[in-house]
Amino acid sequence: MTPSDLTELQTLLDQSQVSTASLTTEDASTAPGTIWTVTAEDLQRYGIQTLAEALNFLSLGMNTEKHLDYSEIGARGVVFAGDYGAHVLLLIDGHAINEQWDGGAYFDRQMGIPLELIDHLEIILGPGSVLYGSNAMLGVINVVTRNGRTIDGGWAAVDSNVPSSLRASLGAGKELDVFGRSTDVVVGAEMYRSTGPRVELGPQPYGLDGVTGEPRRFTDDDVGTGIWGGELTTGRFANVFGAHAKVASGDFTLDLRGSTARRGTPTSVYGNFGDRNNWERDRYASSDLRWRRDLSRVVGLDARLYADHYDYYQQLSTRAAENCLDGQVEGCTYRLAGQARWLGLDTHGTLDWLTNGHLVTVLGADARMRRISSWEDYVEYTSGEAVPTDDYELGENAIGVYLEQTAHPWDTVGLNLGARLDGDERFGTHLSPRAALALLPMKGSVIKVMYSEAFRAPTAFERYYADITYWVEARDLQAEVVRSVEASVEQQFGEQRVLVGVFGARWTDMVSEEELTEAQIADAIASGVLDEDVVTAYQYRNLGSSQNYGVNAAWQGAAIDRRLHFGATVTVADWIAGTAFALDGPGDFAVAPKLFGNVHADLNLGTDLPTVGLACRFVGPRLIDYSDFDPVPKAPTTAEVRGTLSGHVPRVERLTYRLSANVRTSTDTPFPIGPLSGPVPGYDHQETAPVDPFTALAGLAYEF
Amino acid sequence: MIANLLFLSQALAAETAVPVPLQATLLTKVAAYDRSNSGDTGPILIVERDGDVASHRIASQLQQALEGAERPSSVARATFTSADAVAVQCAAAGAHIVYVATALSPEETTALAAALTGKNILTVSSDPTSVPEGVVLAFDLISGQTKILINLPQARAQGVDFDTALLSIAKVYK
Repeated sequence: MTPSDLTELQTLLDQSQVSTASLTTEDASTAPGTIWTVTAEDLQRYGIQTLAEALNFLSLGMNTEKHLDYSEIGARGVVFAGDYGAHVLLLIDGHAINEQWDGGAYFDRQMGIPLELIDHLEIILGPGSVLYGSNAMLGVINVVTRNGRTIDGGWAAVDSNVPSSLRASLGAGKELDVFGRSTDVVVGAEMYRSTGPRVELGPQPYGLDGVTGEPRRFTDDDVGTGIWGGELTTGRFANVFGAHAKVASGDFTLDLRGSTARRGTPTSVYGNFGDRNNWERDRYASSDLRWRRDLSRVVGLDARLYADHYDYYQQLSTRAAENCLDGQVEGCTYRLAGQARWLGLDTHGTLDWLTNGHLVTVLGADARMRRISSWEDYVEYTSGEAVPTDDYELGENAIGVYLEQTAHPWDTVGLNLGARLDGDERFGTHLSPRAALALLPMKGSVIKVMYSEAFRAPTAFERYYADITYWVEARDLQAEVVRSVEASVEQQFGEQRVLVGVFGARWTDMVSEEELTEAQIADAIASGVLDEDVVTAYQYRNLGSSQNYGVNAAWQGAAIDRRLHFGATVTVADWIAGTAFALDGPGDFAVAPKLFGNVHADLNLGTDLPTVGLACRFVGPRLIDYSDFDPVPKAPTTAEVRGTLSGHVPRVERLTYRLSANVRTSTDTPFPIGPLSGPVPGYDHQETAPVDPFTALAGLAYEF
Repeated sequence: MIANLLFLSQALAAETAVPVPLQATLLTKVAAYDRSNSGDTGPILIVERDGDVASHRIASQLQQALEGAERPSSVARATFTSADAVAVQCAAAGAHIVYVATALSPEETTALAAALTGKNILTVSSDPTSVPEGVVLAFDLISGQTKILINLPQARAQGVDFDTALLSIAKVYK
């Protein structure tokens, strides 16, 4: 007689197996951390187009906010606006993507990985430096790509956010017999282009140019109006190309990845409004060779040799003399470039003492050499003469050694202790410990308690950037540090899963742009690092400490023979009063929502019928990033709803479609836009970067 | 049982995506959906490749998990020499389930399928790629979740009769 109830078996199959939290494959519910997974099927069913959207609509604890055409990322009520994702460590198949010049990573189109290549996302909330080192302060996200065996063919896909964008993707994967050896091969490439949509901004009555005394010029016209704004059209664009290849044979896996992304910056206050000549570009190339072998029943060895290149370029054309150097009264083009190359070897040994996963030691080291360079100049509008203002090039070395010990003394208890010591020529040393306890008091229940620390090394840009017109370099910057405690309870009820957790964190030495005092400016002028006529200048500095705390909860389930999937998450967070870097008094942190979450459900209507997906994210009021208005305005509570139909095109074999519509209840964001940050006659409220209230996506994919 | 499973991670992950202890539990549950045997599968024969560290580790870990389970299974061990030898080893042990703890070449897989045809034996492999080639059952990790892979024609050829309920949640190769 066979069992009539598949529930227990299905529950086992549904358990997410993750490898990011402890470098060993394990069940997510007992791994050391609050871990959330998003599958490739989820991305398809809910019309997800980017990692940022996956975090907003499907994940617990992380949220992103669109700043015109790139996304700010935060977690558990903490967002560091303008950090370009430097406080979240982004991995692709375990390879760190955060570049070594400014620490940034992109979570939107610029990630440059074809969506069709993603197998699943592993999202770890909270500090994660114990195994990965710098940047893992808010969390770690590992984008795990598919292998050729599961693709077993290829795809060609095209989709459009009608009518402003077009994406095309092509790829294939297969397990092949190469010289008698099983070899898994995957290749994929994606191209994305967007223009607009049109949006009307301003007018903001800025007034006079501080140098010429004439109405400031915000366009390429010789005569300025002093007014910023107008219709934004072609100046708003993005062109992205990314390619990825993976070959695995025997003990070796080779990953190659490259991407280039160019994005218009038509609303920068340092450039002409709407000018298509104002843009920035990021280019990545990375290679990763992994070797893995079991040396005995107890000992295994992993090694990863990696080499990466990143470069950044920005140019801003302006006719405003006050944005240029002395004497450049007709205007100039500001240019900034940064480059980083790094080469490293990450090796770790795994000792499974009892050969059953009950007592495992991981000991590893990650050594890295970096070469960083940057230059900056202002090109005079009339003569084309370039005047350099900053230039540095240096080599740095860094090493991290890590140790992790897991133990399961009883079937219902799991311990994980670890620490990583990082030494870096850029800032010195830092120790990042972690201790985690998991208890299984009864069937389907897991209780976790954890302490962890993480840090973010000051970036080369933060440490070495200098501009004699307004910026002093900061060579004594220290690493930012976060210390966190959290506890959670997870319970499985048949096909339903519920999680509730609490967390608290202390943030110290956070890096912030600080305006220098008159005395500090005078000292800088005297030492020659600032021009004689500078009256306003800035420097990156480490601030004091702040503490935040909160609750997160999640519910996931399935019904109707698993044709219906649903889930909901919510995070509530706040800051302790009197802490250091609150924007508008204690307890408030710019851009970060105190309440956010999502609800989603999808239903498979049956064979030959579409799957309907409905996802909704909500985010509470957020303080504007910076503003001189009193009180500081807030972006209102916002809900965003996405409906998706996906399925096979009738009577056309191998062709699938995806149709989505996205609606927002508010087009306001917490990011100010334009040159005015406070009230002046004719300007009585803070204008913010808008987002589109409605978008529609249509896509087709052919699988072969 | 669930508590046991949740903690048993795959520390040395060279050969299998799905942690071996999880495979052990899934195997005993999946076997219960084989209508061709009356519930007594005999010992589970684990076959490893001589001199292969990874194969030996998988075999040892699987044996520990099966023997230490809430409902322990009896286990027999053997070394892979040939497909015909596996058939003889199964008969000698009285086993109706054989777990091959190593990757087999396509020729070895084909030979094994032929040798076990009509023998009422469920073949399981640590290598999910061998299912399309002729092994009846394996487990794979797709989108971070475990999938049951079943070669249905080979299952029938070997006298394994899986309940349709199981087939509805598995990836079936026809």
